[in-house]
Amino acid sequence: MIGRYGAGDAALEQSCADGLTPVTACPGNRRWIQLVYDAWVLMAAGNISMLDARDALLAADVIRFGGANQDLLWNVFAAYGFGKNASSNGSNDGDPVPSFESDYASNATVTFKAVGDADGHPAQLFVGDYEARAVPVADTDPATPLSDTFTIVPGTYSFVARGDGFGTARLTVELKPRQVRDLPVNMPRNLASKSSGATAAGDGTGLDNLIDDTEATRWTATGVPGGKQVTVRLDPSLPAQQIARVQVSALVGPGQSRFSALRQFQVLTCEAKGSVDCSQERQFTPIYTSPADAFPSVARRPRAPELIIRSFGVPKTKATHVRFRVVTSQCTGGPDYAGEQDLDPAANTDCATAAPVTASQTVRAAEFQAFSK
Amino acid sequence: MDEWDFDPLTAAPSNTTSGNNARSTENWIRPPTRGVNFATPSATREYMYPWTNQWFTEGCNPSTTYTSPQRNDIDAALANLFAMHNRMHDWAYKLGFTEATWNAQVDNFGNGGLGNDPSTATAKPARSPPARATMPTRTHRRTASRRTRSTGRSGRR
Repeated sequence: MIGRYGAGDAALEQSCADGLTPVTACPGNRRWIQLVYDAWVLMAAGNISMLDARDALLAADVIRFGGANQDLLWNVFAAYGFGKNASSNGSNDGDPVPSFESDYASNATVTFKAVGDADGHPAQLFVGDYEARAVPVADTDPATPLSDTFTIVPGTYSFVARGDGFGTARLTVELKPRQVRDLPVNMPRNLASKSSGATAAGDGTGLDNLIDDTEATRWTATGVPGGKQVTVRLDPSLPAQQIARVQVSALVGPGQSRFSALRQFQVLTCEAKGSVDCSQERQFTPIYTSPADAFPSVARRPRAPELIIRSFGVPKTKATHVRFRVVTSQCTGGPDYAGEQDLDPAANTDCATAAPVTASQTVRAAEFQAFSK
Repeated sequence: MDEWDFDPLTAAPSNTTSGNNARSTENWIRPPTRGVNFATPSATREYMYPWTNQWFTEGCNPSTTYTSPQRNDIDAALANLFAMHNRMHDWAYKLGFTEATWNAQVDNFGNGGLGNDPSTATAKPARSPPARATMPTRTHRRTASRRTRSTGRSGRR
């Protein structure tokens, strides 16, 4: 709006704020906040979905400015998934359907292709950084109604792709006006996926959630976080496979303590051969210890952008068994959460000793993925 | 609308953090003192109370702050709260949040809507009920909350 109507100067802004200059002669920021206010009035009924709120802002522009800014509003809404074909089932829909298309833009047309090991296998593509509790914009599965092709307003976007047996892949792409293009995403085999024949055994509950190729589910272990571990037996029908990289997610679920999220971890491996059956602790060799701040949350609290899946290169090692071991949780390993934080005798604030057990004596991780390159 | 500390009911200045649009009080102890303790009055209507950031600099220690002469910067906090509520009132008024569209004022001056609903806010409200029975009487923390109610009723905090 400032780009279209200018930023004005202090005198004009004062005159607009005092109501002396009509909003139709005011700078862009004043027009914008007027639309926000008018939209609030239009949403006075309650039970408003995010798309209802979009429509209220668009309607406010029609009422106040004769619809002069429908293009600006629609194009920005579309870039955030609120485009022309977006829909939601009421105001409490956990899975609203995104749309990135605008009638006011020269949309790009993009076809998602999973390449590499995932070529020919079902995979999903999401706009943005999250696949857990998000709705895909495209998939390569002919069995679903969703197409592999989608329409999107031009711009630079981050994407995340996932597929059963192929873990998670991220990329950032600039999409140009009217561009018709493929979006190939290299998705190598996740050797530690249950869809790749791997199995998980060890501490805690929800062990399979660690090897199911999605951050939407998670493994939980209670007790002192340090040392809790899960051992992944790679596909037993194959010989030992090379591990060169792991991907780990510390994302917790709704209602779960952020401080229970993983912070630092270790990877150990064992190659079953001859008398070595990988059933003994001493048969495992540590090959990698992550940085202490592998999931680098700081004060005041861990947040999702620091906890979502990250890639860690590890020394190339042949293995039949890969062990994922917790070193610290955010609560026990985060320097900003350690030690008494204030001088208030009524509140103990050292996370590891004073937090509820759901934060201090619990550790969670959503994914442990392993790749040969 | 210009004189934020003017009380239309008495047609005189309140000399504290009370006016037609907002009433700002501390709420430190149990039972709640909400709506009772306004900022230290100023006969000259100058509400420039010193701000020392005492709560932060003394590590959120209730036993050295609330009972000290500076009283945990309560007057500065109330003056800030009061000014911001009035500033938002006036700003939103020009966008269309007037008496007729159910804004927050004691006296609506016959311009529609229902009066007697100023923004009532508390600085450093107490936890109520207290989290633990063993907590000292002053269990206040730097919390804030607000409720929006229908015209004619003030949001309580």
